[in-house]
Amino acid sequence: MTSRCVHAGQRASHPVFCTILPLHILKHIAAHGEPGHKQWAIATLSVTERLRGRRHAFGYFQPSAGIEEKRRTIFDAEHKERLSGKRMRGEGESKSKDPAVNQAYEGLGTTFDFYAQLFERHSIDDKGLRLDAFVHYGEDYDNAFWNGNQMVFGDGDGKIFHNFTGCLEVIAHELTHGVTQYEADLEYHDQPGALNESMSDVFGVLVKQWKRKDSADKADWLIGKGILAKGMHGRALRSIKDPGAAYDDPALGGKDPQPGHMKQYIKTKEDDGGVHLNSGIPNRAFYLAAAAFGGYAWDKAGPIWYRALTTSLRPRSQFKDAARATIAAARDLFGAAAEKKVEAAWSEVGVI
Amino acid sequence: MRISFSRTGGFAGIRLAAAFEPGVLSPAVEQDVRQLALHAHFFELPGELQSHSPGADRFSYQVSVEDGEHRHEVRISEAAAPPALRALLRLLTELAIQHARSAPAHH
Repeated sequence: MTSRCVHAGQRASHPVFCTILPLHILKHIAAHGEPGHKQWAIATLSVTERLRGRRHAFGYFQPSAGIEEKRRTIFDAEHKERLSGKRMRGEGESKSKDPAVNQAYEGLGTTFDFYAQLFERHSIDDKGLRLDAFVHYGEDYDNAFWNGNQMVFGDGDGKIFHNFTGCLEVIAHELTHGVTQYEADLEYHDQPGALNESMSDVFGVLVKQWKRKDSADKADWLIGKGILAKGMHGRALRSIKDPGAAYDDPALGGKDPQPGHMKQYIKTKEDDGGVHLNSGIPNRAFYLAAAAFGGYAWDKAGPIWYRALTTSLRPRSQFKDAARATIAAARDLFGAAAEKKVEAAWSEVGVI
Repeated sequence: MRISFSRTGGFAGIRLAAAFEPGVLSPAVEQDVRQLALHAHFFELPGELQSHSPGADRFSYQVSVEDGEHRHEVRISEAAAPPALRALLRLLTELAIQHARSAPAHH
């Protein structure tokens, strides 16, 4: 699936990677990327073609592979809805005067480290993809998103949301959309889309717990804590432990509508078939499994879900497929007792 | 002018919606909406503007506007919206947030 060279003598927590950027991705960026990346992709394609002519064995190796380090770059979109702008901080450079730049830089680094140290994964694509993020996107822009290549953060309108970059699980959530895109590539609608969202919430909250060294019983299991503006009635945007209990405010459309059981599954055309709503069901299954294992959620439940995401799930996987995949992963990784715990979790949310 | 607006999706996944019956918005605001709608060729848009590019957590909009003889409804993926349409969506979003903030609290 991926190519990785772990050199002799390297500690497992600092794997050394060989970076290969597939031709189709380079071509995609050259055709559809933002201006700066287009230029880079075209230049890389040109170098690649020359290398191919000279040294067949190199195939499409990206020549700049340096390799174990992360490669973060933070840009300021300067309150415009476009993905170009001022380059604010590159890898290893000193802090910016802009807190949002530094928060994005640190959050990307923590998420990169989480995937590298726990799963020996080298960046989003496991091939050393550079991590580019734009902050201050748009005016009063109430969102953070993954555009297929980069992370983008608005500032919020200050009335409902603020400080997206100040929330580690938001950053880890967006980066995990990238991981999913390069692995199971879950389609973004209905149950596959809700699984896609759930994976981002699960690994988003795991990165936060790992950073804080929170055990499953001590963690808050909240997504988006701290991004609701002052005066909003809510603890966060979603609760993985207790879907439907994160907020209750008329400005947010009333009470948190997330279901935690298949009996409450929401059929809707909005939100790509309720991907941010029905994700509550697999989210709760993850919490229940993690709570049954006890200790740190990234020790057992995390690797089980990661294995399912990277080896079993497919673009059109349904909740039942996710249940089967994680139950099998639990058995393979930790044996029959673990298998039963994961099975019980999916049963409790009504999926099996 | 009658407007129905909803925004779903985004990282938060929170639905923002508002409906404005004729006479609710001030004439000045109606004129702003009218100008932006004309500039965006809103009434000539197809019923669906969808994006097939990869990515996640973008907004989805459903916008319906009735203004004199003009009447149109469009479902829009944020990633597929050209700049002129985004300007209209920004104004409608702002109006919907004001509307939501003015809703009576039940706490």
